[in-house]
Amino acid sequence: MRKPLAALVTAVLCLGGAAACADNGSTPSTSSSGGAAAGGDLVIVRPQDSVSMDNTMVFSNSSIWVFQQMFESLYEVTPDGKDVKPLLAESHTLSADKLTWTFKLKQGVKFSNGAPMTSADVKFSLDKARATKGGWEFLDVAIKSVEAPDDATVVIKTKYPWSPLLADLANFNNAVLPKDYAGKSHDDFYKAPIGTGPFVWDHWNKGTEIELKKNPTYWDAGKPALDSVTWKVVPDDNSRNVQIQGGQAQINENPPFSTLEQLKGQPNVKVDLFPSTKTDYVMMNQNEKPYDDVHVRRAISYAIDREALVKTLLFGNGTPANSFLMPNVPFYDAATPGLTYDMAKAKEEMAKSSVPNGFSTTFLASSGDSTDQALAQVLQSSLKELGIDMKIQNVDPSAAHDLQQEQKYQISHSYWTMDIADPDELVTFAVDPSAGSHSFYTSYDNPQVIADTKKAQQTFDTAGRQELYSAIQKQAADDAFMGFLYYSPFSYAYSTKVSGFQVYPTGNYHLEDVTLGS
Amino acid sequence: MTAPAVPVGPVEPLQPLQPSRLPWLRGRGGEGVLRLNPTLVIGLSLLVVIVLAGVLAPVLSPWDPVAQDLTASLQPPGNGHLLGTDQLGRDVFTRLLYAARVDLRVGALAVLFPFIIGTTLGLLAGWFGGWFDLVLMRVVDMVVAFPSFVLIIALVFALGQGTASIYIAITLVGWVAYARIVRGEVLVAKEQEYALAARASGLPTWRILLRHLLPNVLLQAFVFAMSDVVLSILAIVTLGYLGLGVPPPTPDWGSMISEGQNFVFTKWYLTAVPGLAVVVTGLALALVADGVVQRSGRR
Repeated sequence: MRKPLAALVTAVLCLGGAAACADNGSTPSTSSSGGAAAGGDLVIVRPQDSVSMDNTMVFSNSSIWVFQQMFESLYEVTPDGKDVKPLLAESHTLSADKLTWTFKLKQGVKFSNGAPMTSADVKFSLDKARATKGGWEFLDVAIKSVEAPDDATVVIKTKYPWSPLLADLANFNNAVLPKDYAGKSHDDFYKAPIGTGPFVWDHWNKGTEIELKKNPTYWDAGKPALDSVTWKVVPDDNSRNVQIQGGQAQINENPPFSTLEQLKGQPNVKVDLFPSTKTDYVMMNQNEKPYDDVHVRRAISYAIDREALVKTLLFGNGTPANSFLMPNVPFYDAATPGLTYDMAKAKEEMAKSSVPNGFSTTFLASSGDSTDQALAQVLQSSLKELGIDMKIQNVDPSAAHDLQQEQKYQISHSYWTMDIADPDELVTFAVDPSAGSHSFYTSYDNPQVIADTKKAQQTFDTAGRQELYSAIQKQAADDAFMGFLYYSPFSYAYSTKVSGFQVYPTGNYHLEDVTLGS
Repeated sequence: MTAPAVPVGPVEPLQPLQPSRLPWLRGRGGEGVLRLNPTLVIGLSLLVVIVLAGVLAPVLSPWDPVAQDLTASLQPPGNGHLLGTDQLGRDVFTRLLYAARVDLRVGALAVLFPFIIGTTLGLLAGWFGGWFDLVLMRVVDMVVAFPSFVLIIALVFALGQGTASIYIAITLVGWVAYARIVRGEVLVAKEQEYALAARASGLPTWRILLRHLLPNVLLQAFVFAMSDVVLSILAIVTLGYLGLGVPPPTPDWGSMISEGQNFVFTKWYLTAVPGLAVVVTGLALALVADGVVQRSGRR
């Protein structure tokens, strides 16, 4: 109990502008002999804490971006987010019947506890990852078996030809963990996880900070440059910005677009908008009447002025969405006829619906989330024109998240960022009601779309897949199962001392490449 | 303490204001019963201005407080918008005025219920004593043991967002103060001669309580209510800030502060002006309460 309190006191003092905290982690380690060569303690400030380090279960980006610094998979996403390249694997071969994949592992890779990484670890990890319930197992449903014929070889057999396999293996849920959790229980392992990555576990004061230290025996010699990385929770947007300016932190995770203008004017602060796969949606729960009516959903989707949202909510930093897939994912179809703002058409659809005179509904919003608050009020005002009386229910963000997952909502807002370089991740998550996510928690169920999704998973040629994914995107847009809002970049503000910081369209970043100047 | 009704006299020509006495507010018997002190005058004037601003909002501003214009988002002051527009293109000055309506109304109403309930229970407990008094005071102790703000926020959180929840939460927490105050006053008053005389003369209990005791113990509760309005407005603003207050799009100062927060470095007035409104309102009510106490000669 003592440590969090002390941290809180420090935080309060820092907020008060006390000079005492200026040398607390802000200046790079003095041991580095000048320049940006090595050393330094990086502090990343963020609005919310991680949820858990369990890479097989967690969906929260704030958790994923942390444990990705410790866990590595056989493959990794390329910087453009559209392909994969080998990481812990060296090469693979695929049998003629497309059912057997044989992987050669990279040699000389060690876990941070010193144990060498072998095929037995890979088998253990993949078997665990595909046995979860309500986690990321949906990426691994095609895997029939994982075998380890020798220390350096892994053989994966699939139930049917499965084209997204390499992309799936690149996902963090399939990261390689030490066999049998290095002798610990599942719960104990994730309290102090061990991986092959560039950083190793140090400590987590829940609600306050997570610190990882440099892995001195990292297999990629010379990396990482940093001595440690700390993610600190600073809920207030303005405080985070002030901490970057004051040098108490070096990277501000996703500052609101509303504050970018002010940040850009600051000396020693760099603002970057990294191309992303982030797409925002209005979710409509089809278990709740009248959202089972396609005309109601279309009417709402037509009533959303996406251009105005981009202007007022994103301050111009984005583009209206036409598909539930996003431009930075393979097989996105720019020609998908997503519904655009048209009040006349919205009213036509309402007239055709089961509730031509409108209805009452409740929007589930996260309290304190400025985007949610503004979006809800814009939607409220637009839907009023359709005779829809929308109330706004504000609940705590984590409670809102739970209510969405339990489908205890009528209409709400959510977003998605891709984690792998294959649309199958999102397509399965969003349109397959049997995938555990109940079609993005909307219970959308269109047999044709589901059939096309399954077919696309087993199609290997690019043209064939494109055709299927185009058809899926078109039908999903026509069914208006969600209101696709806009595509927006990842905003980051960071100190000019930081170099080598790059965020991939999938949202992850490689801190082993980051250096901290003086 | 039966305050005489203020006689609405013929309007005399304006005379220079005397420091502590307004001649046209002369009470019965020629004595300066309704003697006003500077504290009260300043407090009342401020309050009147704020109330008028709220009441006359439709006259003072041509804009609709909830009408959005997404093409005119975050306009600087000027161009017909005295304080510019907010993120959704709504006129900030108009929202400020309409917010006064909401916050004052909800703030005053939220005090009414605890005032009535607390006073009634305190009156009964003080008069009858015994087990009723004992149980009631233990309940009071329990409620008082919690920080009231935290308790109100927790209750609204549990009850769900909305005006009704605010009334319920503030009532559940607020009545104890009135019960305590009135009980204490009754304990003193019931031993006084007029009360003993009323009892000796065989008047029915309800009559003694309502006609003889209540008027004499109400002042303290009333004075407390004035300052309690400040607390309840603060609670409403806090809840609005946390997104638990008056549901949107209805403007209130708390949600305006919260919505302007992201722009505090570039458009400071979006948060500062509603914040100032809260402070001035609180000040006005506090001055009125102080003034009433000073005037009554009790402390």
